[in-house]
Amino acid sequence: MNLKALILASAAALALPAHAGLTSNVADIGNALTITFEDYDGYLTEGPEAVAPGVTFTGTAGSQLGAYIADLGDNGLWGLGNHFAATGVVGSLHFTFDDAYTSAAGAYLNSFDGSAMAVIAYGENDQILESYIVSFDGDNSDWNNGQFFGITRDSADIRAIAFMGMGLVADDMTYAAPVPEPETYAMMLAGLGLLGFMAKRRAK
Amino acid sequence: MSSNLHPDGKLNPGIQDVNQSGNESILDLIEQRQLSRRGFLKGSLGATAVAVLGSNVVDGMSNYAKAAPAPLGGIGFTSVPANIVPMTDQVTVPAGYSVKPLVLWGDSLTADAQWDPSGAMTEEIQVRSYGAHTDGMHFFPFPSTGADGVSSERGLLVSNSEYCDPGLVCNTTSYATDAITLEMVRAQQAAHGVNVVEVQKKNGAWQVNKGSLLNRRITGNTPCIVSGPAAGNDLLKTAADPAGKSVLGTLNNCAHGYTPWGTYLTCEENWNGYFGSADAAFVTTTDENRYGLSKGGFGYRWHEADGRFDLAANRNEPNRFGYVVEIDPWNPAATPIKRTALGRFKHESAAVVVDNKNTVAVYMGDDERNEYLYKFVCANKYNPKNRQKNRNLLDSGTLYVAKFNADGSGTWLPLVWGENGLTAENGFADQAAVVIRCRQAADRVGATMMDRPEWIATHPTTRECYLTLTNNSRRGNTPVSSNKVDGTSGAASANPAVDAANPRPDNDFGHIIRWRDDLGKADATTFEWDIFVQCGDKATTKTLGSSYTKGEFGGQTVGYQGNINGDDFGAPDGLWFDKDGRLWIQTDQPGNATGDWVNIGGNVMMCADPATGATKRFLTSPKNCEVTGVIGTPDGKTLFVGIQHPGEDWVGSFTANSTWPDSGINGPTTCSGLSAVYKPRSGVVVITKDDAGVIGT
Repeated sequence: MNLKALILASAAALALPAHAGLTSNVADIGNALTITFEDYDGYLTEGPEAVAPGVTFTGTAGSQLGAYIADLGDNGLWGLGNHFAATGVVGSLHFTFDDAYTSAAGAYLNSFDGSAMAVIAYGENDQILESYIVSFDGDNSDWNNGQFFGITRDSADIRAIAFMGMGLVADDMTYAAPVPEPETYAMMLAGLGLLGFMAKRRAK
Repeated sequence: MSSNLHPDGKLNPGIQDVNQSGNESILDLIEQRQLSRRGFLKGSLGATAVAVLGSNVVDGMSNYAKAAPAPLGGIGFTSVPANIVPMTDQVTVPAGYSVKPLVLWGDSLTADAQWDPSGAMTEEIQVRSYGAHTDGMHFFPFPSTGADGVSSERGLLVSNSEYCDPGLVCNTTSYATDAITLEMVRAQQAAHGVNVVEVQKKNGAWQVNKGSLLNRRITGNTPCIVSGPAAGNDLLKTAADPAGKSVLGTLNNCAHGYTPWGTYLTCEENWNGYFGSADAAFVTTTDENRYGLSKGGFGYRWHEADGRFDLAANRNEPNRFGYVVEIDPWNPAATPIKRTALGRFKHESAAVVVDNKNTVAVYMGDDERNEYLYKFVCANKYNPKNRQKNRNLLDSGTLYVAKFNADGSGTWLPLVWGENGLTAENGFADQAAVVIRCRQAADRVGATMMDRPEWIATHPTTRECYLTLTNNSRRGNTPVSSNKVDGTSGAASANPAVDAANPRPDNDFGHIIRWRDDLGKADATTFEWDIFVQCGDKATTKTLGSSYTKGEFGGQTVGYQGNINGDDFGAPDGLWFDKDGRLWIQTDQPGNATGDWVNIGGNVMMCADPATGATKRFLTSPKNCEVTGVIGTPDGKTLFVGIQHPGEDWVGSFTANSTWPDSGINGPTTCSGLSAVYKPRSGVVVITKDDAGVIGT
């Protein structure tokens, strides 16, 4: 992995808990699940699109799932049979965890000519939990090069993660296995109770 | 010798033993053709209206498809003179333009060292080097943040390597009598196929990005998947591939096509020439004769060292060639796919059209005298937003063959099993049999025999189609005959009478025909047509030979002088519309400026206005070569042009006829620094306008 990534600035909107914040190490994502976008092939969509169980994609105009080629100028090329997600000329890729929260999420990123990218974590009411401006300095001759950027929290309160940039490409979107929101827990418990009640009635 | 490997209307020793007994009449087509060019244009809204209103608006107003308008920006250059004797051995372009070699046979596509042409080519070197005898090509631009979303300065140049000169590959002047080894054959097979080359404009100059991981060679031994109706059919099964679904290689890739979903289509043309047999008792069947297979082949002699090409030992191997092959140039690991639904014949080009309803049609020529024009209409619609949905569009649909009526109308006749006599009783057990024996199916339904259907170009906004008909020495000859309805005629064996669509006896200089599908629909089963131009030499004194039927045909016969509005040319082959609607025409004649070509000179690339027919000579070529393959960048400011087999027909010395390009006359090459020019080399040149303007203006 190319470690020429340069974290230009960080702007945490909230007080950061210990061990939380921006990470460039995918290993910081515990209990990780990964979306590779290999099931898509040149799908131009703004969503909503279920890209994995419990994960919904939305994007700005020109977004593409399963993009197969991207010219990143002096930051190289992506493709070679590898499928990924990409914005249009300028835009954002937004991944929402349906009825659930995760404690960490990120993706392998790059953008046109090493321009600035934003990584943003959203909370319960779409409020920004944390956001960071990052960039990656690659070479013109690079292929599928980039840097993992993600956000970790010390509790599972991330409802969505977004990546913004110019000609941004993202692959291997990785996130900690989400946990259901409290209401969902309550509904599950209620459902279990109802099942138990019905089972009891049938037993009679 | 090398010209025998590339049938261009000249007598070919490889097809001497076919049955030439076709004797049916096609007098039903001999009637006065009523539709004049003026009427053809009146039948549409006309060029001006189309240009002003745009295609979408016109589609809603007219019951007709559209005629091509004058090119945007016009045709502004000054013609170059014909390259007549004494010929120059160079590529010449108009004043104000520059031409330079870009990539040539044997040029390394990797970081490995350049091949030294003073020695033989090897398979090991060739599979990482640009292939021989470059032909049809397309430029796939990289996505970009530019205005059009694509780059005009970086892309994949994907090109065919149609065939090779065995003597040049094997470094021998006596190939015809040499002992053939498998190593010699493997090197030649590696010189065939397709090239995927990343090219980029850096510091104002185009270059090959040798380190690109997208650079790729697909050769005569690259594994290909078979899909469509013929996949797995018994006729495709061999000892090496009992499933009949995996073929080694693609061969004789002449012209091409490309799809809006980003794939390249390469067309297998004279694949029959690679087969032969050392078995003295071997006799071809009528089905094999129909495709020109013969005991001797074209002179490659591969069957002497590679059993796969021995007809007696591998009777089904030829059934695995003759298809359109789809390649994803963006994925170096993608396996090429032979799309059998598009029929098996000597494919020359595959022009893809998507209409306003997202219906997809592929227009295809069968490049041999007396063969046919085809159209394949996909069963499913093109999805402009989801590439995955288009991946296998070419596997399902309806294959048609064209019948040109004398009144200027035309009919697409379906080649569908169970219809129009395509039944088991007539030798067609299923649709697989129809596509594998496609020529015989077309014979059965009564398609119009054409004068060597080659490239097809479609106008960028109107979708009007143009087809080159290169020549036909058998047209109008006696005794008159036509391809037999039962499919038993040998390839190029009939002597068809002149007809409305092919009106000249001994069509030495060829013509260009055009058509518009009804209502502009890709799936229309009728069309209207006319002849765009009959090529010729205004100054020739040539007269028709005594064996040909003389006389006018409905006022369409214009003799060897032709009816070109502008600079003369003949044997049209390559054809392409640029983004502004200029029609670029490339020629394939002997290229030595002798005989019938003393006035026209060597091969050329012309530029024509489709609305007026005004034609100018844009490029002349080196000695004894063919000009084939043309494509521009999206901004129209760079043109890539192929120069194939310079110095062909050499005897004794490789450079007897040409030292292009390593003489350096068009600029430095990868080998121009060597102490001598060892071999002429096919390759691609890049043309730019000195004022950085659009090519052709």
